Amino acid sequence: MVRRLKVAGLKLASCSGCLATIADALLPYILKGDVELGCFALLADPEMDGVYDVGFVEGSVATEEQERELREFRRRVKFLVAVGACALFGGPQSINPGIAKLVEDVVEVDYRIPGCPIEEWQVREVINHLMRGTRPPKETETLCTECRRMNVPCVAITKGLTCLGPAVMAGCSALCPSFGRGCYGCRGPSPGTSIKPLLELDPNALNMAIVSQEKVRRGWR
Amino acid sequence: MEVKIHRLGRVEGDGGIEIVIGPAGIEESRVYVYEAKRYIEKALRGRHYSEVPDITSRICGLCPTSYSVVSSTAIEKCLGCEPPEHVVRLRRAAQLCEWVNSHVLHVALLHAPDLVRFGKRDHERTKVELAKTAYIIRKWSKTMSKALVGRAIHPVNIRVGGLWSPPKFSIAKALLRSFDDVLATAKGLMEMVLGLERPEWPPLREGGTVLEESYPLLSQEVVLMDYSGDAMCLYSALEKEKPPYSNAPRLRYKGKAFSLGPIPRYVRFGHKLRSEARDQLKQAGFTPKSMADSIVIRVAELIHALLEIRDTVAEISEYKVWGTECPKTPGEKRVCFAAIEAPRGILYHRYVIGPDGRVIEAELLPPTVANLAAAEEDMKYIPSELLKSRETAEWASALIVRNYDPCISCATR
Repeated sequence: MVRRLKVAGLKLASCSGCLATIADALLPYILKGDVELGCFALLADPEMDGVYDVGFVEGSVATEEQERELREFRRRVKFLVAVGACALFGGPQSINPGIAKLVEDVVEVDYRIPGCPIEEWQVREVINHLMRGTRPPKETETLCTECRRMNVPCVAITKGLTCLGPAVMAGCSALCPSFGRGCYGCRGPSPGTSIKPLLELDPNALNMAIVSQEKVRRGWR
Repeated sequence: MEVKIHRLGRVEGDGGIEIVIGPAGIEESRVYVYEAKRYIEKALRGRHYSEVPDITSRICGLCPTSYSVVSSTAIEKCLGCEPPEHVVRLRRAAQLCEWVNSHVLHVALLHAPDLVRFGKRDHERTKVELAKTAYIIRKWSKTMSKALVGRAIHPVNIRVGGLWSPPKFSIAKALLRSFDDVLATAKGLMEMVLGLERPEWPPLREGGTVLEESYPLLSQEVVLMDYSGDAMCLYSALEKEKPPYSNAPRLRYKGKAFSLGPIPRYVRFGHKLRSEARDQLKQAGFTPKSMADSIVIRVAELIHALLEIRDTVAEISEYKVWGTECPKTPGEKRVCFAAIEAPRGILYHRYVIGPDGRVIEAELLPPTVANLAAAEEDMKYIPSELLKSRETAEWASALIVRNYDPCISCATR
């Protein structure tokens, strides 16, 4: 037995890359009739005029208008999912100080999907769980685990590259290492890990992150 | 009468439309941009040039490869470290994957629903057909992007100097086995689009493209109205103004709004499209009459892009070298620029890079800043009978904006 879900999407200060990924992931569900889109500006009507089972929010919060919108969205959404580096860590705009609030600074968040952009499988995981009435589990795996499982040789050990893998969330199929470069942390910190030992070995490690050091450190205490 | 669409759906980003209708027709027209500024150009200052392609791609989730490729190309050209020809060709194929990704999304899911309504066809069935088509084509082209540059959105395999690693040939070549099906689906989309009743307004607007031998894609030269030549020279002469109701600027040339994207590309260089991409157009006797015909040209460009991607992937084989090393510290100040045809038109980048290799200044001008000005001016061509009711006026003004497939996140950045 499954539930039909009404899904909404909200975009704040961001690039639409996560919402485009969500659209791709949802299309088969929509065609099958398992998912109906509510307010979702990229594909459908952008006005909030109902209550939604799941709401995805992309982007950092930059203006008072966006804060107001996000609160309104929260009121209408039963399960709020913050998606992507902008919503969770401020995104590249947070390199500039003071203009990027996180979604969790404004409203309570039920689930977080890391990524820049997020991956389609993560959206399907959330939708499948909610269709069955269960909650998606919290992800904690680091990129290193993913590299080992996929048999991608460690680029730090074999090539001497700077790689944030030991402290970064997995889920991207070890993308950068599989293309011969070190992870620059676009998926953000894995809970429970620490960046400190990496920084002692390589003080420049965090400079390659595309979000502000301050924002990343918050999750990397 | 004032007609206001507070928030426009089926476009990328946060914008709205307001038109004021008087006895003589449209008196005022504004395209609002509420999208919050992210100041990405400012965020680039002080970063080493090698980090630039990974940061600029984050400006847009629909045309990120355009950003990575044009950033890399601009910097390579001024540092004198351009990659070998097969790498350039492969990056062009990745760029064309993005044309496919972006065009099919816009045509099938964002633009066509306006025209399905216009034609009063069997709405729901047609929309489902369009969604299935989009799914099939996007799945193929996104997987191809993944094989060539890591992923379709925010690619990781593009760097200043070339690529980080060879593309995943086994995946790319395996995808060629389903190419014929995807091409047939694209041709089916063309049939559907040619069958839509497209309005004959607004008239074609003059515009510009990147200038090169092939169908325009990537160069330091551009052509716009009476200008043809160096992109930096033209872009320094364009007028930029930021209306108070918009977080995105407007771009004009000699006081005139101009269009960028599929219409000017096709009007100037349609003869350079692959003949297989023009066959159906010829049979249908198609010549573009209005900006709404951009939907047909997008599908022709999509077919052209698919054919180019197939040939590149089929012909390129294992090479030892996939990039050059660029000097980490150039030793003197350099000014870098290049222009690329993003799916929506010319995306121009200019960087000033210091002796230490760090960015001193960045200027990134996406096509939507020109197209927003064009869309505002196009409103005056809405036929008066459509201005009599709020519903038809809303529909017509939204269609005019969607003709350009605006990317508001880019325009605001």
